[in-house]
Amino acid sequence: MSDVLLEIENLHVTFASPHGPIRAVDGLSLRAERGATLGVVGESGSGKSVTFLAAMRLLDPATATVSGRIRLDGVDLLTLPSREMQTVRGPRIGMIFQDPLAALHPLLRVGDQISETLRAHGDISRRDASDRAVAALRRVGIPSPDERARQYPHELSGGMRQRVMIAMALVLEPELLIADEPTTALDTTVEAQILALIDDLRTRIGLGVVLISHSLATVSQVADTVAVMYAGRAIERGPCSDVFGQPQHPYTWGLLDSLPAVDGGHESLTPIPGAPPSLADLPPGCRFGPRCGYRMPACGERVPDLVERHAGHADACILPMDGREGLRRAPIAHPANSEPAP
Amino acid sequence: MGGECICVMGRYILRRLLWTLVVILIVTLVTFVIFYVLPSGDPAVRFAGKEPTQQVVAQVRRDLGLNHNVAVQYLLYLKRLVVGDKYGWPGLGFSYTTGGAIAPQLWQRAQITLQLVLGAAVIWMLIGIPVGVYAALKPRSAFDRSSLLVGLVFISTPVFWLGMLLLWLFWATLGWLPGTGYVTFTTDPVAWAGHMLMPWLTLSLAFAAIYARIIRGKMLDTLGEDYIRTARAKGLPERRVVTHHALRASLVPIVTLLAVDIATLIGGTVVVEDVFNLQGLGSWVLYGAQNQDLPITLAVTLVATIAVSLLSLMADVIYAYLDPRVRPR
Amino acid sequence: MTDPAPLIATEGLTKRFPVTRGILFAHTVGAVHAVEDVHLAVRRGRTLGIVGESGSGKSTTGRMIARLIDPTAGTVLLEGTDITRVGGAELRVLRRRIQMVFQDPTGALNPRHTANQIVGAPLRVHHVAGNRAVRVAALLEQVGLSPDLGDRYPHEFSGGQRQRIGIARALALEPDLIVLDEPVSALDVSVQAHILNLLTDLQRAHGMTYIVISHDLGVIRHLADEVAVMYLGRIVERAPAASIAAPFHPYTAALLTAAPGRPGAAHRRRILLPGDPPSPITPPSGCAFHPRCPKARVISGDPNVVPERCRTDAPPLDNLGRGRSVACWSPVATTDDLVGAAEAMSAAPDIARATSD
Repeated sequence: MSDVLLEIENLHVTFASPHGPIRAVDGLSLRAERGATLGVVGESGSGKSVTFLAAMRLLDPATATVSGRIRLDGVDLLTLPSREMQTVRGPRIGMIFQDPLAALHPLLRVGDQISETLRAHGDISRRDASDRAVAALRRVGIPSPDERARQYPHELSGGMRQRVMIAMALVLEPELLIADEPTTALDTTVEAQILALIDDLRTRIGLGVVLISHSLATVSQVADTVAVMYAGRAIERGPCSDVFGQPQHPYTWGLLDSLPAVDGGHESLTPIPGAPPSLADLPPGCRFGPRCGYRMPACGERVPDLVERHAGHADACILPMDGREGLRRAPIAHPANSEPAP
Repeated sequence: MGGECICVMGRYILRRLLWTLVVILIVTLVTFVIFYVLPSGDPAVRFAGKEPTQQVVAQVRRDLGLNHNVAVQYLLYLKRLVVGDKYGWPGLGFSYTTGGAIAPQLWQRAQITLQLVLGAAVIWMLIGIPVGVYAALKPRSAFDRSSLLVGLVFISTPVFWLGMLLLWLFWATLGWLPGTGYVTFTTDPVAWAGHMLMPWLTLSLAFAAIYARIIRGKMLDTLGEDYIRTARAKGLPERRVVTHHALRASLVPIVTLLAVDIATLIGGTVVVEDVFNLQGLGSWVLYGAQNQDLPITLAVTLVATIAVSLLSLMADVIYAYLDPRVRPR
Repeated sequence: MTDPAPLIATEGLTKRFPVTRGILFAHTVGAVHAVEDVHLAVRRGRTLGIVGESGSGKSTTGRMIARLIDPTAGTVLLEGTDITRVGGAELRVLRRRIQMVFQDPTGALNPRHTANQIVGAPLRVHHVAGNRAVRVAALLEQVGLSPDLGDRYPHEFSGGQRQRIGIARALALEPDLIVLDEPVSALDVSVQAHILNLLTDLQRAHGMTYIVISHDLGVIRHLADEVAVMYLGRIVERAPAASIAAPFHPYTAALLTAAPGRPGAAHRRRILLPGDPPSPITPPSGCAFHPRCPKARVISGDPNVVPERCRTDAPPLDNLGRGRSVACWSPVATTDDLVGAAEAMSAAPDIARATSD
């Protein structure tokens, strides 16, 4: 059943900065499958957005150096001539972003922004393009689509705008939708609508979805597989229910224990001590080591690889497999419960 | 929806038009106070030019209704402006130093100044936009840096000196272009353009440099916007991303700036008109000031201020047309 | 039930922002009904959570309580004293007793002032006696920052640390009440937990009273003793935090199921409300929630039909006992039938159109 659509292999993205090179993505490997949702979670600076901007070749080559392989259906996107890359963006991969008000052109009618996409990728008359734009708006559940098409982004609500973005990303019927924090700027009830819409489109048209989010809860609702990122690397990957049900990596434990639950009480949360490392000055060995309550001397020696333990569930931790669950409840040593100075 | 939009837009234009009328009314009041009421001495004498005869003063007093009280004088002044006087429309009287009626002169000179200013504006936009856009696409490149340097030279060059330099080079030395003076377009389009080219360049080079920098800045801001990333993410060719998405958004705020600059230049092209011997409003205001000709000074002052309010009205309407976000709801 | 006098209370708190238009001179043609008739009470040492989506009026309510904006109607009572219209010197005294912490820790701190200056500013402004440097150091320590960092500027701190500085500043004058407006929304998950723990610890140590405003039910339920749910300017439900999981208002029910639960926990079936919250300029007639309400459709049995009373009369906030109140003509007994009703509504094109403006 494994039908790999997007395969990222040993990806490195480095930004030039006055403080030296910033290693935003550092040896990342990931797969997204056709018709399934890959959830990518991580905190700010984990490299989750940069990874997929690199896949779309949307990073400024003047400041970002990208190496590794990103294959779409076996074709490496990183070596594609830029003219051919233009035929990947849109017709084969659609992308939506966090803030739909900022992501839509403020001076153009939403219908025109969608039909422009159609006209850029095919010989289609103005009238046909605008008809298809209206149809695309209808498909994402926008009521009175022909009226909406003539409106400007600021005249629509936040949820409607994100629907417009989805309609635009999918109007050329791509195989893959990359959704970068698609619901972060939206209200709770609207977020639920948008997630349901993306999920519905996935099942109906067999779309592959990459859902990038800082929210474990959001990802856990719709993802089939989940990758947890930390400081430019995936530290845990596996089926959604496994990653959240039997998390294996101490960072994943920390994230889950940091969450106040909707149905929880006042019991004290167990936050992760410390702060993520500077990407310009990474610690030796495991990046999470300095904040980890289970740190062993060997952790500082080399960067642990992502190792598959069972049934597609992999983690990058050198703790012995026996009794990890027990460890989670009783950390060996817990560093001071505060953030250090930057 | 569309009809409603036009109706709302119409209301907006109407509202701005009414406000512009109010502003123009205030302008007439202020000019009246400055030219008729504030200065000491008999206004009739001042309006009658240098060393007037008793006869002329009496004539002016009759024409301007200066026997009445101040309020009536203002209303008469307003009436002459609106319906005209025996010298034509608008009723701005007679210049006793030149011995000619104001109104026909005004129209003729306004035409020349308008040709000068609008032509220059076209040139500075034609230079400023591509230079600004290209500099923004390659920031800190050799082109960007040298365009800044050349721009600084243009900005800091005195206008009269630049005018003289061009005259010396293209007229006196190379002989490529005709010298000073003016030929109407209808008489000879080629000669017209030949005569206007140097004044246009003289007036526009500093503006071109300034506009190139402003457009570069706006473009750099716009190119960092999320919607530019969206345009690229949907696979648009880079050329279209730059022209259709980035440039479009960057030029909208320029509209207001352009209108204000054009407006201030009407009546403000004194030096260029003087250097190239163009009989426009600028050289007229210079003449009026040198010869203490109040009717001329008043006429140019009125025209310049009214031009500012009308052009800012136009800019607001165009801005609202281009940017749906500032449209009235 | 013993109910000692509350520290802070509001009665009929209302805020309307005028909407103006006109050809030459602007005149008022309507109002944004930001907050309508809000009654609240918080006892000393307790936490009230206000939850709602954008446009619900939750932040406006918080700002009125902190006297940052003036209400159009209604009163704010601090220990029974009306503080709605105090001004001048009295207001300055009041500011010492009520402090506010904002969502964006970066925007709320002056970038040109050091942490010491920021935290010390309230002490300076209010002429608090004593050694200011010692007090500032103690405050920084209290919020988990080393006093050695006091001479750094906001940009040298992480987001979580900046929020700690904002909290230290709010604590400086030892206020009775702190209004926290989305205190952790701008922070990463692991940092959020630090700040939430800090807030709980401070409350335990100093008997502080909080009003927490958030769109995040998880945060609200973690911090609050009592929860008020706001929709379009009105409180639609109030309940002890422990019992909000069994909601009486259909909107609360939808919010609860829409809010992503703890990962790994069994997913409840989501009640997907159609459309967006309506405009507060033209709120719907009757119950403001009726255009999106699945319960109303359960009653009528038809996704297109809403019972007469929901459309015409705004339900009052009824006290149901046990600290619970709800503003609904037909409170929810079970959420099961709401899921299907909401789905039927989303499928009905007229409703989708009517609720998406």
